[in-house]
Amino acid sequence: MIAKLTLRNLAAHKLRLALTAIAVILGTSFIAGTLIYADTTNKAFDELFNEGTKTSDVVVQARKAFQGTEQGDEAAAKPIPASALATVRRVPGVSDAVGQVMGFAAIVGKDGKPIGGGGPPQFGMGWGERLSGYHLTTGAAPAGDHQVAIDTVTAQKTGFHVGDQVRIVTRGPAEPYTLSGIFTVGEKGTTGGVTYAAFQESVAQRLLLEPGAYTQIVAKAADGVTPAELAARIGTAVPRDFEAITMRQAADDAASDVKQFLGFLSTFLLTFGVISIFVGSFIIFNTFSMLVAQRTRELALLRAVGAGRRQVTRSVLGEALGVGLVGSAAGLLAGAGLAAGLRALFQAFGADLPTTSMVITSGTVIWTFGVGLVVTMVAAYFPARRAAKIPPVAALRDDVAMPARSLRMRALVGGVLLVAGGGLLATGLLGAGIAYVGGGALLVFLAVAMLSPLFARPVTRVLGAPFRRLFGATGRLASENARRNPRRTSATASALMIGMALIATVSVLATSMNASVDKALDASLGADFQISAGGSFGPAATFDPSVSADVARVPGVASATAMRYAQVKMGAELRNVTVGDPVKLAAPFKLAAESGTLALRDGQVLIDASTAEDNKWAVGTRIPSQYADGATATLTVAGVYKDNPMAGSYLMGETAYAAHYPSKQIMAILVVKRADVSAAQVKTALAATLKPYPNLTLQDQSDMKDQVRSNVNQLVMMITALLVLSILIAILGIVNTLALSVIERTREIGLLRAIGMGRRQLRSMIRYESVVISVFGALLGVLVGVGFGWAIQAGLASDGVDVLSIPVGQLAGYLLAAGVVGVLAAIWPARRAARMDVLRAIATQ
Amino acid sequence: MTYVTAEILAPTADDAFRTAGPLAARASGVTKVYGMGDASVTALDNVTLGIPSGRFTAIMGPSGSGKSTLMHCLAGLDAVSSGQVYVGDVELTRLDDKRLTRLRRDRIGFVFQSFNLIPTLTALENITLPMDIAGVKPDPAWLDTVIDTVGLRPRLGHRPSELSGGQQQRVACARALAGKPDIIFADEPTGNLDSRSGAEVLAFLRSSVREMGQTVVMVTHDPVAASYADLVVFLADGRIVDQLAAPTADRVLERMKGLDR
Repeated sequence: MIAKLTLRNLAAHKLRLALTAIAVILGTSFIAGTLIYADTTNKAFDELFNEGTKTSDVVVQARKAFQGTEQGDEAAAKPIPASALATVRRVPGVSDAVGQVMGFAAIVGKDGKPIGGGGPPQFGMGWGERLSGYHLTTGAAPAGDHQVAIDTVTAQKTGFHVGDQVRIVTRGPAEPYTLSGIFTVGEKGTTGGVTYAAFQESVAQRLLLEPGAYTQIVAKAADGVTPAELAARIGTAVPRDFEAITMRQAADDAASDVKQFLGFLSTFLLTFGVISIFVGSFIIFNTFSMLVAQRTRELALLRAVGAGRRQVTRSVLGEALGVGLVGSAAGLLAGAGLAAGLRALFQAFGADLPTTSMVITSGTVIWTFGVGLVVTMVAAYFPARRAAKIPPVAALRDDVAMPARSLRMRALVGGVLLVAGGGLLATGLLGAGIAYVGGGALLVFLAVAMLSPLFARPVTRVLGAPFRRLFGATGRLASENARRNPRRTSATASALMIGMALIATVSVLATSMNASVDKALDASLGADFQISAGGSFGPAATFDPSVSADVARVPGVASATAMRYAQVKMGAELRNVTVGDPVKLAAPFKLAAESGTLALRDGQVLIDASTAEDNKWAVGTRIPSQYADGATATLTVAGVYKDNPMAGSYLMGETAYAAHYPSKQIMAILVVKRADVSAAQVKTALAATLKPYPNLTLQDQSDMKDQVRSNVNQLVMMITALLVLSILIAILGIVNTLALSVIERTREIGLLRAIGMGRRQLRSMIRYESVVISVFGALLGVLVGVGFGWAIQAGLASDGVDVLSIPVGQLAGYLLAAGVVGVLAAIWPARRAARMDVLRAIATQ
Repeated sequence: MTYVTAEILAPTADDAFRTAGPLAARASGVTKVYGMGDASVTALDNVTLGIPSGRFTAIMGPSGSGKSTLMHCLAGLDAVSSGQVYVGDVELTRLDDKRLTRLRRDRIGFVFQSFNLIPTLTALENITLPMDIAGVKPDPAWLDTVIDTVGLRPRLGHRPSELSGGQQQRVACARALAGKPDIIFADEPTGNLDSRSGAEVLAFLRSSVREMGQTVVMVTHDPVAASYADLVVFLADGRIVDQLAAPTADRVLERMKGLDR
């Protein structure tokens, strides 16, 4: 019987429940979309990396002491001598083996700009179809010093045809080559954004590596020999500097980096899904509260005719179950669409990831339904419990109203939550970790939501004042309506508060970061120009050291310092070390010594003040260290310098680096101009010198600042865009609350219309109410957000974010935007109210 | 059978009202049909009626006689199926929603059976609400007079939930009067009140007619309430079937019994 009633109620309140379901859908679809996207992309990468296992079984590569994660990692790889290839071929069980040459080669498009480089590597290689996944489709293999072959995808993108002149950048300046042929990569022919340029082997060795050497050797096992066996045999045969692993292992290693990144990305995205569903839970809570309040009489009647409390609770929870099921199912479907959208979005940002058919795992389904159902049921539980408390006698009373409860309990619980949340947040910021920060923020949100009814009346009174003043009776009615049920107003506003708070937090952090960076750069940027390669990691980020010499000869240049970045294990941790000429390092960074010297000698490092403090290191401390090639050394601290964001935390001389890194490539040049020459003049001269290197970027001081700023701003924009989802859900909440309020106040609206309120005035009234609620929510959010931003900035002060900057104008803009949100949210409820038939409205019971 | 048709009575009623002076509102051949085809119900059937200015008119009739519909049509709350309705010289049946709303606001006052007040506004704010909506200042002297007449001065700052049913209804009457409307429509104003509170409200409506020259039209099914009026119009099955001047409760009851038969 109760089940039947539940179904009838679901059918009777279709529209209101649909709005609630949309809140569930938006949250769950984001979770489902992220999971589907991550699974699909993972599978695509597996397929991509497994291509290699189809053509060969074992790969021989340079041994590394540790798997570095940063740029410069590749520089440590030792080239494999041709003699090793002969050794491998002689190993019993090897049916075939070839040496492969790989490195950086950017194909310059017809517009003079290098293709790709935004993430996926730009590969240069020695041509060979044996034991490889490359197959010529048109033309011939590259032969001689002046021929190149490129992949089909790049050929199509650039419009190059066989016979065309194509400029290619390798280590040196761009050189013209004749396009001899076009080839496909792997079985599918997709490249996932990677560009390929192939040369004759000897040419590739000279351009990309060193004559007669290989980057890796791949081998195919004879029948009856397993890849693992073969890897073991080859491993013992090749010199100690190299290792042999199965192709499967190599694929997994390669994929693990990407998967780690994807894991980070999906956690990042899932966070926003969780935020959305958290915001959605407020709306679910509010809708069910209002539905229960409106059905007080009906529920009392049920109780009067003998329904038990638990039956009433179950009937309300049953409705929630229905909403949760429908919402989650639709969310899963929408998630599939979202996953496709995400792919398109990343593609638009230049991250052209490989593709495969969409993967929807049972895990995705379980998570989507689990989260959707649990959140809906939990949010509806409290209204359901209230419903059960309605006394049967309420059915007989004319003026039914839920018993007003005291706010004291709320104040108490909210206060406790606030203290607990603040404590957790502080603990997290003091170093306990991000989980504490998140948990603390969650508790603070709940606390503010619980406490907000306490100050909803006075605050909305102030917010409503302009409306009273400006719009007379309409404004006064609107402002009173916003105040009449502080719990409802607060719950509606709280949904908006969360999204706004997070956006405000990000804004405060971003401006603080930018201000801190500006301050730091002003103090530590001695260089007038920086020259760097366009690629973001790997060999693409490096270029020939001869550029540095060229630049140093440009008139007006006082000094040009070539920079490299390396990872060195010092103590137990991998550290990012800046490498350069010790004599020339101080000037471009305005390096200031705190103790010791800035002049480096072999076997010495410089560290910054906070590193010295954190590790309790000082001048003369001897640090046991290890380089990427496995060699160990003891590094002595020669000096401690004032924290310098441009230089980083560790500085090392070139000589020590050169001994352990076979690649002579550099990663940046810092240029200081002579004081008597204008910056513009030097910049023009530098640009002319760099003309043959289309992959290099020349930045002056303001460009460098802009770059840091744009990195921060890009992240902020991305996060804000993702948070807009939760704002969207909050808008739905306002729509829902207003629509339900309009239904609740049908008779009142009828009366207003009867005594002469026009439709337009009625619409304005609802619009103003909506604006007051929205701005109230945004105000709460901005206040909480500034608090969070300040707390996090304080927590990061020692990590370089030492300036607190509150973007007052931007935050005021958010409040204004909230007003617009209010206007938008009111459109539909206001139209509904204005369309009401006056007579029927008055006659409504 | 003492059934009298509207066609016979109408001229008589018109004559009676005409002698009483100018008309504040009138209905001419008004028919109101609800629904379509087989399911249609004729609520008003060719009703012609004048509401004399400065008088207290009661519209009576059994349930379903069409008395509320007649009032709704006269007040511009409901559209007629055919015929014309005038308030003063304005033909309501020709006005669009916007003009009708303005007419209700500026020239008509309402008192309903229940839910007459906006719960979020004080008594005084409720009284001045129609003028506030119109954006005009109330005449302070007149407002004072009205407030004193309904005897609510000490309760002006209270919200409706803090007032008794009788007090709420007196606030509603004050609101109807405060804008000096051409005509006040009261729909069963005493329906939800005990007899003492009801008598207060009725006495107040009558005194507003006698002393302030207000025009009041009241729909009721209570013969005692009708006895406060100057004229009573009887409706049955959507037609005007009788009228009575200077009514007493007993005479009204007698006529009603005749209608019910």
